Amino acid sequence: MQKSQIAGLTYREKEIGDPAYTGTKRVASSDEKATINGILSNFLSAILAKHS
Amino acid sequence: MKGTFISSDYIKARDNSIRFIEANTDTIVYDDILDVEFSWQPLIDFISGSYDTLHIIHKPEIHYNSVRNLKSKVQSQLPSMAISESTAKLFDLVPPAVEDASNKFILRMAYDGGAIVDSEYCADSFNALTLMAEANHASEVIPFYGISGSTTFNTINTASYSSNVPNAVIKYKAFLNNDVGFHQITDWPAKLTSIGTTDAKYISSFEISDESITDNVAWSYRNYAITYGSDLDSLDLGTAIKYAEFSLPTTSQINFSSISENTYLGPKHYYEYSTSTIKAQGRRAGLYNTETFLSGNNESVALTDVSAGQVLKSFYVEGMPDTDDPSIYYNYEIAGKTWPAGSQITGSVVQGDVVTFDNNEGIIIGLKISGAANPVYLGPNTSILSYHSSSNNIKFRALSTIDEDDVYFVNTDNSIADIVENKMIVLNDPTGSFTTLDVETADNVIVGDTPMFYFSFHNKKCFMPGAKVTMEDGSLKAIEDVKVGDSVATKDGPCCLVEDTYVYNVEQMTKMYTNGNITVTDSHPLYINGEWSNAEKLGWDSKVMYVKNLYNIKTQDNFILEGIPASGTTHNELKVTKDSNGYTTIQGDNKIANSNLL
Repeated sequence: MQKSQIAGLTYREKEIGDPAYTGTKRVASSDEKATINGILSNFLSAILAKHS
Repeated sequence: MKGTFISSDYIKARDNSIRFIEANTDTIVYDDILDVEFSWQPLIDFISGSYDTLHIIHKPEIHYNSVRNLKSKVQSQLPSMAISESTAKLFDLVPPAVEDASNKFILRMAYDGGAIVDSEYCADSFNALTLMAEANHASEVIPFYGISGSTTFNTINTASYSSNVPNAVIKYKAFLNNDVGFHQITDWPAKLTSIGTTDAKYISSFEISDESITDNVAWSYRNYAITYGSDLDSLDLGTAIKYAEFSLPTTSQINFSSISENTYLGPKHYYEYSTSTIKAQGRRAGLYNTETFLSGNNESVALTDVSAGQVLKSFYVEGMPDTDDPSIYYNYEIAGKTWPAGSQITGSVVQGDVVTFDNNEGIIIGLKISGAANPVYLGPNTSILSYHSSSNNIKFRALSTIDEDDVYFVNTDNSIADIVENKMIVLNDPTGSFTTLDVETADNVIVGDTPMFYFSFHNKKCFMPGAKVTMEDGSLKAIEDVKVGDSVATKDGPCCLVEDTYVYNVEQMTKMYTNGNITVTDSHPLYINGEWSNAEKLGWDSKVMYVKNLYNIKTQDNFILEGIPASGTTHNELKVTKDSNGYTTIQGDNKIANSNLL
C-alpha cells in the first residue's frame, strides 16, 4: 500500500490528546456520584451474597 | 490485606437515570484525570497507621503513570511506608503471587483469572448484568436481553433514536474489545430470536440521555474504586466524565440510506458511540504496511519482503536491554536527550520470524517528524523511543499516549526533532496490517528514510496451514481461515471464542514435526494421552522444510486441531518450568479454577 492512499481510506482523524469536545469539561455532581457509589455497592454486595 | 483496583462504567439513560454498563479490571487511569477527578488519597488515608508496607501488582503498559503517581504520593505523605511492586505482562491471566501479611496492603491492579470478581464479573459483563437483575437491581443496569442456562433475561428498550444514533449494542459475553457492535434495529423480534440461538452473545440497549450529548459529543461516567477484604468493602477513588474521541457522525457519514431492519454500523463508529480510548493491545503494535525498511546498502525494503537472516539498516543503542518484557523496557530510561556513548548506525540481522497482524479495528497512527515529507504510519500501541522535556529522558512511550507538544524525537546525531503530527486515523474499513520483527540485541530498525525507531517484538510460531480446527458447532475450518470472534470446541467441550489470530511470515528452512494432517513446530503444547506435551517430546516424524507462513490462534482455553487438543495461547503465556531432573514441563491449559473473590 502506498502512503498516498491513506487519505482516500480515511474516515476521520484527530491529533492524539486533542479532545473532540473543547468546551468546559463537565464534572459529576454530588448526587450523581452518590448514585454511582450506591450502584457499585449493590454490585459488590450481590457478588458477596452469591459467593459467600 | 488484599485490594483489587476496579473501574465501572455508567451512562445516563434515556429516562435520565444512571445505569451500570460494566466493571473492569486491568483498568487505566487517564493522565488528564489524575489528581483531578481521580485521587489515590482515600487509599493513602486507609493504609496510613494500619500498614507499613504497600505492595503494588501492575502492568507497565497501562499503569505506568498512575503507579508512578501513587508511589510519589505515598513517599511524600508516608515516608516510612515501604513500597514494593511486581509486574505482570499485558496478557497474563494470573499475576505474580504475593504473600499476604497483616502489616501489608497488596494493591492488585493486574487482572487475575483466579479471582471471582475479575473472571466472573469484570471479564464477562453479561454475568454482571444478570447478577444485578437476579438481585432485584435491574433498574440500575443498562437494559439488556440474553439467555443464561434456562433463564431468559429481557429488560431491553426497543425504542429508536434519531437516525445517526444506534439503539442497540451486541456484545460477546466474554468481552473482546473489537467485538462490540453498534446496531440500528427495527425488527426486534427477529434480532432477539437470532441472539437466542447463540450462548455467546447478548444485546443491550444503546442508552444515552439527551443530556449526555454535549456539542454533539457523547459522554459517560467512569468510577474508580478499590474493593478489599472478605466483605468486599470499597474505597471510592473518584468518578470521572469521559467524552468520546470523536463527535457523533452525521446521517450521511453512517450511510443511512443503506440501513435496513438490522444494521451493523461498522467498527469505524466505535470511537463515536463509545467513550473508550485506544486500548493497549500487542496486536495493534508495529509498522503499518505503507512503510519500508532500509537494507544494509540503503535500498528500500517493503515489509512483505523482509525475512529472517536479512540485514537491515539500524541504530545500535548502547546499554538498551534486549527484551519484550514491558516491565523492563518501559522502565528503561536514558537520562537527558542524547544517546549513550557508543550508540551508532549499524546493520542488523533479522532474528526469527516477521510477524504480521491484521488491522482488525481500522485504526492507525500517523506520526510525522519535522523535516520528513510524509508521516510514518504505525499501530496505535507501538512504543517508540522518544524524549520528554519535563521528564528529561528518552524512553519507550506508546504512540497512543504521546502529545506532540511535549514529546520530541532524537535523531541518530543527537539533534532534536519536533513531532509535528501524531494523528489517530480511523479508516473507512479495517484495512492493512501491522508488522513487527526482532533484530539483534540493542538494535532498532530504521524505518524508511526517517530516523525512526520502534520497539521490535519477539516472535512465536506454531502450525502449518491446512490443518482443520474443530468449531463449536462441530464443523471444521482450516486454521488459516479461523477469525477473531469465531467459537471453537475444546477438549472440555464447546467453549471458546477466538481472541486473536497469528500469521508468522517465516520464509525459511525450518524443522517441522508431522503427525497425520498436523505439521507443527517443535514446542507447541499438545494434549496427548491425558497430559500436555509437544511434538518433539512425542517423537513425531520431523524434517527440515521450506516454510512460508505459520499460523496460530489464541482462545480463552485450548482448541482442537485435527482431533488433537492444542494450547490456544501464545507461548509467553504458558507456564514453562523445569523439574529437578531438568525436564521441561509445559502447562498449556490456562483454565483457571476460581477460588477467591479477590
